[in-house]
Amino acid sequence: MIEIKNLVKTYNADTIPVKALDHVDLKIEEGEFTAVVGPSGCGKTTFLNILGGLDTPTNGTILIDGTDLHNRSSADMITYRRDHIGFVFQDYSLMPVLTAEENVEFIMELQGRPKAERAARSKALLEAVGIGDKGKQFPTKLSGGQQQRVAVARALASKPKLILADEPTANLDSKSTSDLLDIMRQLNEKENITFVIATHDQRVMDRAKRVIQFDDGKIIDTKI
Amino acid sequence: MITKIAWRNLWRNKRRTVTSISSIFFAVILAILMRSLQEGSYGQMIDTAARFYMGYAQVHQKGFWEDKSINSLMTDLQETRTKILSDKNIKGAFGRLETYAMAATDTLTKGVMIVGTEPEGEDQLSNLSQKVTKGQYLTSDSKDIIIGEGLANYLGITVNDTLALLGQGYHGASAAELYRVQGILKHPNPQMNNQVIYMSLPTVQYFVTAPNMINAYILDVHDNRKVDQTVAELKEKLDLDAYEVMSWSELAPEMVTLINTDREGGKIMIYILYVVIAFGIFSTILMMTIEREREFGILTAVGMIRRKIYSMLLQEALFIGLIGIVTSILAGFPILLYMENHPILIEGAKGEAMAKMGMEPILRFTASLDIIWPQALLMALIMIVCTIYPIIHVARIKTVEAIHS
Repeated sequence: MIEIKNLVKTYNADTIPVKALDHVDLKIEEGEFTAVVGPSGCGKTTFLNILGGLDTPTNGTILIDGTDLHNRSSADMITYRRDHIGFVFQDYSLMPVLTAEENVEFIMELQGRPKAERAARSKALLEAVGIGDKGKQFPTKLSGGQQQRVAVARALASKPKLILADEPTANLDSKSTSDLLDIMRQLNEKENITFVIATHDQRVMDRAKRVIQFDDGKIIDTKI
Repeated sequence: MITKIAWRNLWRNKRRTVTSISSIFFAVILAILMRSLQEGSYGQMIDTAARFYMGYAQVHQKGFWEDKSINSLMTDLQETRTKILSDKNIKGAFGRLETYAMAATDTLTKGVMIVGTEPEGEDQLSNLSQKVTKGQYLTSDSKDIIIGEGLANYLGITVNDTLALLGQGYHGASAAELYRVQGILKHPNPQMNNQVIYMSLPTVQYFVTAPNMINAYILDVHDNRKVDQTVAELKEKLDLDAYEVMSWSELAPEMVTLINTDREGGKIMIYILYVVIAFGIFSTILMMTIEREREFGILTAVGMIRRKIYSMLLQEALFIGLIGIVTSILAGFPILLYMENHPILIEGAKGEAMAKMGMEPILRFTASLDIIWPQALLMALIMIVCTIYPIIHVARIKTVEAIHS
């Protein structure tokens, strides 16, 4: 379970302070499929960055299963992210020099898992996201939807309990968006993986179990 | 996989990578050729000096080199010669007895250097007989002399003329004799050409009243790169209380200084070349780093520790360096081998000027791994140094800023 207490993030604290997050309190239960929505600049991405350990809060704490997420060194944070959090980015952010299979395997290699296990899991994950036949393709040879599926497979490679996705459907057409959301929902339901998705996309909101609305760094509404 | 990624990253911008590799390739080739020519020239200098006068090494009576006295002579012992010749790098050892005297014709006098030698041995080392321009070369029982062309011109004498020599013999004995000139030679060393007189060893021994005595064994070797090792071996074989063994570098320290000074000058030129290349490589690696800031941000976000990113950058740089170095060695070494066997002949006025200075009019190269490996090592070091700042740059990247850049 994720417990967010009094989360504050202020940029330019020494000059003209901008509050990106303003005393945010929130609980996210294991296995939730949550959409974080709101206008541009409302704090969605900052919230996701801090929740993913990419950025540090000015104030407040995030407890994941009772442990303070930010109470670790930056090196420990990198390995924590590697082992416990999956990321999906708007522009896919795959390694262009690695094939789809290799992109998925890469995270497992960073974890030091054996080659055979990596190969088998990579294949299985690509099958699960519906592009088992594209494993040997480089990202540039894949469509946007296919690349985002590889990104989801990569995010799942380390067997994380939490996946953070920042506008994952922003560059996709309707069909690809629908397929991707199907895959994410299936993973959420079958494997009880928690998804937190920052989005503007109504289709994502429609499929989310909970929608949290941000404005001016504050949660102004929560719909279940 | 880091190595695989590093390798593939190189080819994301083929043109830039090939340009960087090419700059390393040409820098190393150029450096190898420069060093090869330098070392070849030094070898030629040493060879000329060794072959035409001093030999690659000498064995003397202990203390002779210090005082160079006619009284510091050693008996030409077969036993000593046998010990010297037992070294497998020794090609020949022949006795020499040198002294100085006054040469006089009926109208002119001049101080001369008399070299008593074993004509066959001397010829084996220096092809001295080929330098005789008039008359005959010496034989081991010649009672006559051959003289330098410059000396002959100064004294106004030629073949079959008679020259009076007056000097000091062994232990204060007077040395005076008349000799017939049986040949005139053009010695490659201008100074020697103006003052040298060659005699057979028994003739000069008779002149200075020192029968069966010599002041040096002149040594010829099979491999002149192993002279120091040969000298060390001879020092173990010979009685060092009675003899001294000296290599050419000890016999001519001024030549060693000249070579070392010139060598350092050449190295400075190469370092300047490398600095220019290093700036090019540095800017390439820095560019490769800066344009991938976002990618590095993503990598750290998904869990790649920075040490692995540094390793990736270093490997990319080393790949570029290694390809450049290996291709330059593969292309350069055959060129060196060819040039070593086909030295460049200097013709015309420049060649004549070199010949007048006692040098063979050729540009000689040398093909040795000792020339190549320092260049390879230096270039690898440059690649590593050029990666330091880009690594520092990556270390300073803030993940969240990089992702959103």
